[in-house]
Parts: sequence; structure tokens; C-alpha cells
Amino acid sequence: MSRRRSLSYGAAAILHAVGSGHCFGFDIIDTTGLTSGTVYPTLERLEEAGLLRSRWENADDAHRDGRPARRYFTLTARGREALNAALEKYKALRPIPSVSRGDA
Amino acid sequence: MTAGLALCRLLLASATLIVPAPRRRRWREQWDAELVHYSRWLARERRASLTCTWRLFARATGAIPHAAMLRLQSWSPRMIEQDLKSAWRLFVRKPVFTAVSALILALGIGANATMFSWVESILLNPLDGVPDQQRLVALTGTYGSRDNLSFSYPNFVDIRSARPDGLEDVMAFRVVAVTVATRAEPSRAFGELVSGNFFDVLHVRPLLGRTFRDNEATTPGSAAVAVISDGLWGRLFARDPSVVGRMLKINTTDFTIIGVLPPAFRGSAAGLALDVYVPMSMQRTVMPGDRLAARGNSWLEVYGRLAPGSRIEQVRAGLRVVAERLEKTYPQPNEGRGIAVVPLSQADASGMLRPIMATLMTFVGLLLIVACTNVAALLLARAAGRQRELAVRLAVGASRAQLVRQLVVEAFLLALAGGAAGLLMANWTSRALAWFIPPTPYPIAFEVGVDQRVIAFGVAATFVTVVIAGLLPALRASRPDVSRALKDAAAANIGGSRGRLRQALVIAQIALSMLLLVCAALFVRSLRRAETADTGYTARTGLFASLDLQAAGYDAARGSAFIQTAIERVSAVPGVRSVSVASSVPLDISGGSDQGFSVEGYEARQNEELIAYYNRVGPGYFDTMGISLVEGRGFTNRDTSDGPAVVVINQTMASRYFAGRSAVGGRIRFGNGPVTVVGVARDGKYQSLTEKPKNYMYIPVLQSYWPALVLHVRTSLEPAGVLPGIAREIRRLDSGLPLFDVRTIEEHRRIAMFVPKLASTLLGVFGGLALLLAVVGLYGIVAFTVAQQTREIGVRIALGATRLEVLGLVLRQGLAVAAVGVAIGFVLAGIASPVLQKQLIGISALDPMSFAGSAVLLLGVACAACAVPAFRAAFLQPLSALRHD
Repeated sequence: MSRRRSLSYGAAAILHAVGSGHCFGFDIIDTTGLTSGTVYPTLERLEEAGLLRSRWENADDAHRDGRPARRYFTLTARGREALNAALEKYKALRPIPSVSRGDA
Repeated sequence: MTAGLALCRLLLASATLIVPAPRRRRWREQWDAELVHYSRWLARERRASLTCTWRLFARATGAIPHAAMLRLQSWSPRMIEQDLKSAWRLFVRKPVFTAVSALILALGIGANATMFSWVESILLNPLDGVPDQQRLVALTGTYGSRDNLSFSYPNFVDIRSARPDGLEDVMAFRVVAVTVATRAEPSRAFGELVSGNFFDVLHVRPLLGRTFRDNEATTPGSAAVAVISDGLWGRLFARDPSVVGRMLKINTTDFTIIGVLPPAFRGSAAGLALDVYVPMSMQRTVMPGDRLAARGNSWLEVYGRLAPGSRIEQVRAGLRVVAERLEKTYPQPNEGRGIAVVPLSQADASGMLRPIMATLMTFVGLLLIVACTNVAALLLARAAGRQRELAVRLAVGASRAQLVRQLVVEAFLLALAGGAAGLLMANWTSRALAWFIPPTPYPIAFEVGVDQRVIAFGVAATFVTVVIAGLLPALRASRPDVSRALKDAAAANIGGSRGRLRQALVIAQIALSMLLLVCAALFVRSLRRAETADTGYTARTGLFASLDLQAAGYDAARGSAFIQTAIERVSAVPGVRSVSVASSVPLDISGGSDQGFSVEGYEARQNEELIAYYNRVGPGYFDTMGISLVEGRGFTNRDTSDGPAVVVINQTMASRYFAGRSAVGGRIRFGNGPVTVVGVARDGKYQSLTEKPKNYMYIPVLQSYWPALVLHVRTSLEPAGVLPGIAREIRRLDSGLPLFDVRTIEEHRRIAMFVPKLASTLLGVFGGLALLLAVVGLYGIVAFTVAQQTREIGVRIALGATRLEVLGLVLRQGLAVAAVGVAIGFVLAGIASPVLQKQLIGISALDPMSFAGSAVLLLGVACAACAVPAFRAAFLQPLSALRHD
């Protein structure tokens, strides 16, 4: 995915979800309604294009919850720019309640 | 759920092979974490475990495109182009091999896509033309062990105004049969009596005009307005664009048409295409009685729509609060009642077809595995023939990954061709569902076809195919023993691990085919049993015809008089043996009515619920249906509201509540007061052929009037010849009272056969296909072995082995493989038997006939498949065999 090309709707929706604090695959699927077959490959592509960054959850934290560690995604500065451009383009993207704020 | 997780892990393990080696570990960890998370989330939702497994698996399939994408990232386009070219050349060079493999995959994928299209339209998207229906839920009343109760109108109004947590809104409806007329002849139509927000909750917008306003549905008798379907608009109004505002006579009342619905929308009852919608306030014109104020009269179905972001568990909690409040405010009749909520896919018709659809989907999945292993074996055989080519490429420096890639690309091309052909096939076969639908009075319509989701499913099935059919042989074939293969291609193939792998694949095919054959045999025999099953009634020639006295404007007194006269007049028609009426026909798809009761002299145990299904029947009913009375008498013309209240019960009820005493003369209480038992009728099947014995009561319709009746006529001649006489008599009595939905008793019996017939036909087809594939597989491996052993056989013959000995040798080898497969198939069928048992009628899931018959069939066909190469081996000319490469 070249930087200059505009984002597909699916990619924009995924950036939007990550930007709103939904940071791992299944959470993103639930928020966007896209299929798992779309979300994971797109996440890879977005990371390769430098719009997303991924890190592994602290293994101890995960262990405490009795589950394997997850891979978390966050927006990069470029990702934020691309998201804003996409939000302008796809006005129809509905607002996603942010998980970090309690007032949504 | 753990089974679901295990299934997903299996999928992940296969897909891991696609991921480039350096990223494998991390990739696997990521998916494990996500699946564990999702499976816990699903477990919290407390859905049916099948739904959970399915949803978890659907999520996990995303791993395949993910893995494929990572793999593709590591390839350059030029490499793939080259692989595609060489694969293409290979296919062109071996057209028969290519065509056969693609055809096998097309059958597997096509059968899966077909079944999926049915599952989708019946279970996943039961309502056509309703957006976002995954967010719709069905509410049902619960009481004791029962969880399928309807709601009364006052209870519905209170539930709605309580605004249960997690629900956007709730609506109520009831399917009704009505007579519609413009100026022409009146005709029968099915429609719905709905609450004012019905269309708003469904998110359905009209094509023309508007839908209902809330106030139109609340004041009884206030709003004679109707919304009609696109179909009815075409039939009665020739798609006149100015139809809004015109009149439509429904039963006895003139309604103004206010809107026309879009063609895709067919109502809120899954599987039915409904035509007329009237607001709840008009209940009295379309249904008997005055029901809107009666809190104790439950007759409505209630659906709700989940609020954005809310989940079903939240709704469950919210409804618990509402139910408690209702119980406190109106203990009569709400004491002990709760409210349950399920996704739409588990309600109604979808619920009825759910078990059989799950079985069929499982089996068609097994068929795909058989097809895949078959193609895998073919690819392996071909790879064996290419040992030298592959070894040369390895020797001159190709990496193993390159070889695997090339072989997978070949398999992928094959699967692509198979997938495309399979979807084309499904486009046609998915409509075959219509063949199984029996003639019923109801407007049954399942909208099936290949849509986006089916295509997505087909693509996923194709990927699975590539993984199973392509990757395994590719990994195997890309590891040849270079020096041996270069020295002697033929020697490298005999025995060895590759031979064993092919043998294992053939055994797997035979085992799965055996399982499918046993199931097919079980369901076919179950259908035979169903056809001859004891339904409790012996009438075989005759007919049923519906009468709607309400639509014709009769009240109870006139209606009762009409029933008596009609029975008398129709009895006199030549060819008629006996006539009666009843409110319902046994083994109809419309379910049944039930009610609680108590028995004088019977002490109910703690928590014992006394509930009986019932039918309102006319004089002469038992004679007409051929239901024998084991004790007492049936109903006569004297059992009217002037006489003492009487009832006939079935044997089950008599033995449960009148143990050690005669039921006749006993007293039962339900409804308005005590009634006396005057007869005990033989047990029968009332709703389904698989049901357990249940309590059943016959109530005289002349004492408990009901206007929607079915005329039952038993004839001594062909029913078709007698019908005109019957219709003439009814017309003479009242020319404005048409007979609807005329069907013969024989036609009616087919309704009960619908599910067994669907199951046995499809499993028969799948079993046949699996058998064919397994036999082709077996033939392939035996023929291949014979070809590989040509020289050895030649030596044996030259040394004096007789042709019979050679024949026996080859047959023994082939049949040993088949026998192992059959034995494993037996075990598999045994494991599956508890699940199958619930769907079988009058036959054990371990039925020895089905098992033995299938084994004989499979071994017989296997013998034939081995015989061809065996004879070829036996008649080898030793000299030419010795010269064989």
C-alpha cells in the first residue's frame, strides 16, 4: 500500500477503530463489523505502510488473566494523518465510542 | 466450546504451514490469544454451543487469508508468474488428470456451497428483506420447564412500555389467515396482525405510501388500514401505482390500503411469504374473540431489536426485571412466568430445521474432506511420477520452499477451477430445496440462492481445499531422496513412506464414505418407517378443506348450527363415508395449542406440570379419522353447550392420571370449570413423528366454539371425484363461504415426511458421491501399485505363479485397505450414533441392517474396483512385464 494512494473503506474503518482505542484483532472485528479475513491482512498491510505500530502485551499481565499475550496495535503519527484524511473522505463512518473516555 | 477451540487449533496448525518460517511462532501466538479471548467472550454470552462453535470457527477462518497474505508478501510477482505458467503447462499436458481433479473438487465445493446457501437462508438470515437481522431477538414466555409460550396483548404492552434494558424496542405479531377481495371473487391470503411499531423494529420501509402509526394499533376497531406485499399488489392490483388509498375487503371489513412493501420483504415468520398486514386494533376482524384486553390469553409472538452496542445477556437481565415486575403487579396469570430471549435463528421454522441442517452441513463437510483427500492422493500419485523432475531441480539448487510453492500453486489452480465450477453448480442446486417442500396450505417460501456470503463461503472452502489437498502432498513430494530418485524413479516409489501416506488417504476416504453410507442407510430406513408409522389414525382416503366462519361473518350460535347442518348434508354426498370438523389436523406444521388442567382425585407431585395439547372436534370425528376409542364414546350432535361439558382424552393421559381406575366418568378441570371424561382415544402422533407420548384432549367444538375449522371428509371413492359434490353442498348452504386449502389425506401426510425425506434424499446423494470418490481412490491406488509392481509380478509369473494366485494377491492388497477403512467407518458411525438417534424415526442409530448393508455395498464395489487392475496383472505377459521400466 503506497502512502499516496488513499485508504480503502475497510482500511479506514480499521484505522478508525484503532484510533478509538480498540487495539487488538477481535475487538477491531467487533467494532467494525468486518470479517476476520479482511481485518488481519489489512492490519499487516497498514503496519507495513507505517500507519500502525504493533507491540506484544506484557506476558506477565496476560498470564495474570490466565490467557496468552495479545498483539496490540496503535496509530503512528502518519496513521493519525491518514485517518483524518480518510474521515474527511468517508463522512459516513459512524463515530465509535472511545474506550478511554467514560462519557461516550 | 472446547470442541470448537480444538477445531480452530487444527485449522491454525494447518494454516501455520503457509506462514513464512521466521514469522510462524509469533503468528501462532497472536491467533491463539485472539481465539482464547473470543471463545471466552462467547462463553459469557451463553449461546447454544453449536452457534458458538460456528462463530468461533468463522472467526478462525480469517487465519487463512492472513497466512496467505504473509506468504505472498515474501514472494515476488515474477516467481508466482513463473509458477503459474509451469502449472498451466502441466495441466494442458495432462488434461484428463486436470479435469478429473477439478471435477472432484467442484462436487465437494459445490455440495458445500449449496448446503451453506440453505443454512444461510434458513438459520443465519431467516427473514428476507430485513436489514441487520442478526440484531433481532425473539422473546418467549417461560413457565416451569416450558420456554416457548406466547404473550398476551396487555403483557406485551407492559413489556414494551417498561423499555427493557438493552433493547431498542419490541414489537408483536400474529400470523393470520384471511379472505381478501377487491371487486372480484374473494381469495385466501395469509397475513399478520401487528403492533404499530412492527415495521419500525424490523427497519423495513415501504415501497409506496407509509406503514402504521402507533395510535392506529391501539384503540380497538379504530383504524381499518392495511399494508400489502409487493406480491399481492401485483396479483390484485396489477401494480397500479395509485393503489394507496384504494379499498381492500379483508374478511367482512373494508380496509384502506396505506402502503406497499418492497418485493424482498415477506413478513416476520421465517419461511413464509405473507401478503397482508393489519394493525392490532383490528384484531376482531381477523381473529375470533376479543383478545386485546385479556391478560390471560397468550397468542402473540414478540420480537425485539438489540440496542446499538448491547448484547443478548444484558437483555436477558433486563427482561428478568420486567418479568418480576409483571408477576408482582398481575400475579394472575403471570405467577411463575419468566421471559426468555433467543436469537432469531433459534426461533420458529428455523428452530425446526436446525438439527437437520446441522447434520447435513456436517456431512457435506465430510464429503469435502473425502474429495480433498481424493485429490491429494491424485496429486501424490502424480508427484510420484515426477520424482525425477523434482529431484533434478533439487540437485541443481532449487530450495525445498520453491518446490513446495510450485506444487501449492498447482493445487491452488486446480482448486480455483473446482471452486468456480462448484459455485456455478451451487447456483443451480441451491434451488433444489423447493423440490422437498410438500404441498401445504401455507405460503411456504425459502429465498435461497448464491449470494455474496455463499461466494465468500465457497472461497473459504477452496482455501481449505488447497491446504488439505495441496500442501500435504507438496510437503511430501518436495522431499525426495535425491540420489535414489535419480538412479531409479520406479524403485523410489514402492512401499516407503509415500506409499503409506497414499494408503492412509485412501483408508480415510473409505472410512468417511462408510460413515456417510451408514447414515444415508439409517435415514432412508427411517423414512420408510415414517411412511408406515403409526400416526394413531387410520383414515387414508379422503380430504381436508379449510372453512373460515369468522371471515364469512358467523357468530357462535349461527356457526354451531352451520357445523351441524354441513356435516349432515356432506354425509349424504355419494362417495362420502364419514364427515366431521376440527380446529386442527394432526401432524400439521402449525404446531398446536395447549393448556394447563387438573384432575379430580389425582395429586400432582411437587413441580409437576399438568399440560395437555388439545383439538376442538365435531361430532363423528373419531370415525372419520379412524381413531379407535379404547373406552367410552366419541362426540355426537347432543354434545352442545346445552348439555353437560364433556371431553375425550388419549391413552397417555388416562394411564397417567387415572391409574387403577376408569377414566370414563372422571372429571378434569380447565378453562371454565369441570368437564366429564366420556371416552379414551388411542394414542397418536400430534405434532411430529419423533415426539414422545403426550397428553392430548379432544373438546367438542359445539361446546367450545371455534370458527376457523377444517372439514374432514373420509371417502370410499377417489377424493378428487367426490370434491365437486362436497363443494356444491357447502355452496348451497352459504354461497359466500369458500372452501380453502383443499388437500387429500395422502398429501397432508407428506408434510410430516418433509424433514425425513429431505434428510434421506440428501444423505443418499452425499453417500453415493462419497462412495464413488472412495472407489475411484481405491482403484487409483491399486492400479498404481500394480503398475509399480509390473516387473515383480512378471517375475512371479515367469517363476510359475498361477494367474489365480496373482489375481488373489492384488485383490487381497486392495481389499485389506478397504476392510481397514470400513472398520474405522464402523467406529465413526458408532461415535456419531447418539447425535443421529434424535433425528431418526422408529429405528436405532446402531441398526445392524444399515451397518451390514453399507459394509457389503462398499466392499462389493471395492472388489469391482480392484478387479480391473487385478485382472490386468493376472494376464500380464511375463516377457513384456520384465522389459517394463
